[in-house]
Amino acid sequence: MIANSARVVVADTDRTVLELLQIRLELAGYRVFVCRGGDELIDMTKVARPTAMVLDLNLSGLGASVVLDQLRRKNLLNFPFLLMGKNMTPESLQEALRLGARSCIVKPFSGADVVERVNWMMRTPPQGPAPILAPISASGPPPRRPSVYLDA
Amino acid sequence: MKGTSLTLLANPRLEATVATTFDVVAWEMELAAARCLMLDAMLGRVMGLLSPQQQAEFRDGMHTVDLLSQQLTGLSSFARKMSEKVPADVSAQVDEALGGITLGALADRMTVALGGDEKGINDGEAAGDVDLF
Repeated sequence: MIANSARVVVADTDRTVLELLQIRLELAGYRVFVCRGGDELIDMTKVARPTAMVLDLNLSGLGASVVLDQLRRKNLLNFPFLLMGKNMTPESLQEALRLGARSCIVKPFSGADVVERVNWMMRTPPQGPAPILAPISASGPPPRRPSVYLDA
Repeated sequence: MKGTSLTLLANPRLEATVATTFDVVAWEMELAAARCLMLDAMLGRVMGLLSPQQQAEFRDGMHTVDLLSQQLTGLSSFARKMSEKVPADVSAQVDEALGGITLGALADRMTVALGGDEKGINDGEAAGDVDLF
């Protein structure tokens, strides 16, 4: 069980994903804060002071890239985060790396996969650029929907 | 009557690919499985308050909840994998099937996830409402 002080902010436009992740992460012992849009996410980050974040790459309102850039400029991005996305391309994976994501997961996924990823982020300190597990630069298109693309 | 039912009546030709439909069903089953896990955890806490005899009677119920959670997780995994297998260009009308869902919040979420938002169907915040009429 994770200590009660571990706070995770989850941001996704889809209410099903939000509730699913809230239940799964709370059962794993995290305090969970959820929101549905980019603007709300910035405000919530200031208040919740998360120890980790899980967010969709295509947030409504301000997109994930803008939100993360703003948080970084305000010195608020001092926690690991996991990016979720549907139909992730090699370009979006490169973008995730540029944004500083510790991990990416492709939708649809199981709730257990996300809890496992968050647990991993919480116990593994960042160690610079990490190996990319998926064949980003391999010849041919990447698999349509692997459960995890990369760790960073 | 809630928003979804009204808008589906006004816009009765909502189509979605079979792959997307499997995806949406997979998400909902995954959520149902998570709710089962939550129920399981709550029952576990209640167990601690019961007498040994009551606990024995309660244990079958807890086992059933655990089985239900595993069943839903398995079905979710199946639907997710099927969504990868079906040809991307196969579509079907989903409005009639959605119209049969009496839980308002579920119908709303599925309608939006199946493309209803692009057709002007409201993504309402109501949860747990049952539309019977």
